[in-house]
Amino acid sequence: MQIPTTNSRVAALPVLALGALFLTLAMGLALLAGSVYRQIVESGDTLAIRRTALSYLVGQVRRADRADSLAAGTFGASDALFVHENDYVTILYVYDGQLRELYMEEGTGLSPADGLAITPLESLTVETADGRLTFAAEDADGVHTVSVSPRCGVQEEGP
Amino acid sequence: MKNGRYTLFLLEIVLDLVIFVICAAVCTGLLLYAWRLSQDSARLTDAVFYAQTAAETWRTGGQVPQEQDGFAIAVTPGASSQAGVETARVTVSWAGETLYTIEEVARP
Repeated sequence: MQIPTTNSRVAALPVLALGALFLTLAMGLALLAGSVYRQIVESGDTLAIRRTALSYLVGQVRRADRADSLAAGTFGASDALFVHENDYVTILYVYDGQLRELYMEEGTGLSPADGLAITPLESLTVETADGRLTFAAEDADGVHTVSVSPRCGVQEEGP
Repeated sequence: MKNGRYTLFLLEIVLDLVIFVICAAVCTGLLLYAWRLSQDSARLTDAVFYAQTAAETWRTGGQVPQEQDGFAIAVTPGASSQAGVETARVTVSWAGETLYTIEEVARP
């Protein structure tokens, strides 16, 4: 039986060291790739939510730009956009972490929980000033705003 | 003889490592490029909303901020038409690079 000599053990050390270096580099590259991929996906998701929410609100305003159609107010605990069409009203608001849309007949008295969820959103602020509607939407990335000026003006929704 | 065997094995390991480092460098470059594209997309989205807000603010005669969250916003008045309609061009830039432009905004 051959007993490994000290010389052969010393000769194996560089091989083991290089193998360990290879393993370290491979693990580091895998961790880096996973981290970058996760950041890109999270950023994309947050961006999609922000883009969807703000674009949807602006689209609703432009769609309903008629006299006495648009109003800003509150619904539940959130600021809301009210779109009046004939005897029906569409309310856009945030409830339970979701941007929701509630389409109902005027005076029906439905609650914020009855709305249809559109996209996740933490909060929504609707402000009117100088004929402009400003929406401030808060998501995981902070607060983002967009303004739109309806040609037919905006009213304040009464209680 | 055994040392010669180890030497050959060592040489093979070194060559494998060199090839791996080259591939890792390429992959790292691709990852950084993907990350930069993601950042550019986020900036473009913000620039579009800032441009829209600036255009709507100008239309209503409000004061348009020249800088917001690192973005430079410029409203360049154009020529007025015979009907008295004013026009302007809205440009949003980041670090000197134009990200988004609304060519013409009109107000009576």
